[in-house]
Amino acid sequence: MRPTIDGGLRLSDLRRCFRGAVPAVIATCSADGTPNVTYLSSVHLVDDERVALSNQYFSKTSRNLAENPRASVLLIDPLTYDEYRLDLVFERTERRGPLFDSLREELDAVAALSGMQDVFRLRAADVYRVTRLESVPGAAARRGDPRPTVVEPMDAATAATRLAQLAGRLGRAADLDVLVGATVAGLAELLDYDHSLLALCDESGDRLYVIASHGYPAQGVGAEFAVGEGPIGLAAQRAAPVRAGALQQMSKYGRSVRRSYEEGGVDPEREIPVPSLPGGQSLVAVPARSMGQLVGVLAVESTEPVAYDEADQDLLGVVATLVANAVEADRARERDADQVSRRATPVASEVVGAACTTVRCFAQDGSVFLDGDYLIKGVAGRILWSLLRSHEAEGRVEFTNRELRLDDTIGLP
Amino acid sequence: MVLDAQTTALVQAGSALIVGTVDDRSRPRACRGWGLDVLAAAERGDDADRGHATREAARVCTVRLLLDAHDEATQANLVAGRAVAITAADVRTLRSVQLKGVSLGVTPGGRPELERMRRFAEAFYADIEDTDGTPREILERLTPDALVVVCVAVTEVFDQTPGPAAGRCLPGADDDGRRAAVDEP
Repeated sequence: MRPTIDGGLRLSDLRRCFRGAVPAVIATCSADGTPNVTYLSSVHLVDDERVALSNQYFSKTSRNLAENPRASVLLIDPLTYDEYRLDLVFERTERRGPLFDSLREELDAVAALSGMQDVFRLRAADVYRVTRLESVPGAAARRGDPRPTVVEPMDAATAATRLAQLAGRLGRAADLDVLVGATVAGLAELLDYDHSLLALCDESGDRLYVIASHGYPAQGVGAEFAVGEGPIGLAAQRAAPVRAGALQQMSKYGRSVRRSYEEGGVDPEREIPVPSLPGGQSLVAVPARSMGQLVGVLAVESTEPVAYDEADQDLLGVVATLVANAVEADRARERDADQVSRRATPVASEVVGAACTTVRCFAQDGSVFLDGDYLIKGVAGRILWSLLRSHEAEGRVEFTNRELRLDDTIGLP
Repeated sequence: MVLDAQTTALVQAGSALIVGTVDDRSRPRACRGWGLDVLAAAERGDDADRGHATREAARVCTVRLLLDAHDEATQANLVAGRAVAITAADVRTLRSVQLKGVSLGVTPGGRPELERMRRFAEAFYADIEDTDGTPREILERLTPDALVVVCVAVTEVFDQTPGPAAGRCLPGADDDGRRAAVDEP
């Protein structure tokens, strides 16, 4: 049965309300007629007749619904502040399946932001049938004041054309430096993602390091974080997209719950700072995979709430896959070149000139000797050896941190 | 039943106010509040000799809540004697309390109530603007242009801060100054 609606509204028209940017309100009532009213971090749209609420705690709301299955919910559109009231009747509880997983992913994103992955736990997804949907106009709407302008997302045809242009740029990139730079620049110029970063997995697969960024106050290249840490680390850990449209609200909610646990004597893990864009409200982080292996994570951020939807997630997923395949191809080429180089060149490298110095590097421990004198070993030795080999092969005297990061032979921690 | 000074400050400031009522068919209804004041003993006509009004940190717990006058269904749920729940949440910290009690009836609001609402909304919107970055002109779309007043005799107070302790009954005192028992709601 379709809900009784006000002014032709459908639940899907309220899509922005379901992304948690503004906390929802729920009122319930016990068997003896006592009301209870509290905030909800988010309400999940199931279909045009149903919504789902996450059940984390055995709260008064849950107990009331067990006695009286009716609820009243207020939702706010975060971009226009139009308000809506939904009358609900409890229908069922789900403890597994796609809906449960979807709500759990949302909760996990909040937990990742607040460093409480072991504390936040979804008990159930409660599904409600919407029996009535009505607009709750404030004075501005009653007066007929114009609604705030909402920037519509890029249409699908334009996005496809721009994506093809970006793919062309990436295909023309001659090396990894150009490729990653073209990726973040192209995301801004062609697809309007003004703040983006690309992080690659390190050799151990336990950490991510930023290899390129665009639109951040500090470039942040080389910054590292653990897989599983924050929303970007969560995307890597799950090899699945993470999308958030209310980072500030999520962070505030997480801090509040953290305080509550700390006051109760529970010490959650350390708090994870929100990604680096000041005032960032929305984020999409998509895994970059090639041949089934996680290569890194591509993330975009915005200071606007609920800036991204499924279409952004899909679009960025394509870009991330292009980048991942290119990175893997580049690494394979490097490995091949290195093998050729190892076969072709002796352990010691000689430079003929007025002041000739013999350099020896021992692969076993990275130790480097100059004219038979020990100089350095370990990672530092391998870095020096890598630089000298590049100089010898290409005559270069300038190098980037990025290429050292990507050099498998160095074995950076 | 009295509120401590901290709770009184929270509910009277520009905290987000939400209200739960119930109709005569046991259907709950949620709405927003637009300002709340805790009334002192003298304001509600109690005997001053009992000393409540002189207790600096405490107020006799009758509250005066402002609601949107256009919400007639909520007003119908608030005839004298009907149960009501009011939650106040600090926008910056989400520290929240829920007051539960009984409606003493609804009366029309006027210019003083609109002025009170403007002070409330100023603080409420400023906190949202600071913490969430929502522009003021968008927030103000929520604001009502006519108000009613409902007085509520508060009987219970609960901690509603998000987390495992949400729903914990906060200790209060009855009219004779005794501490109320802590109990799960």
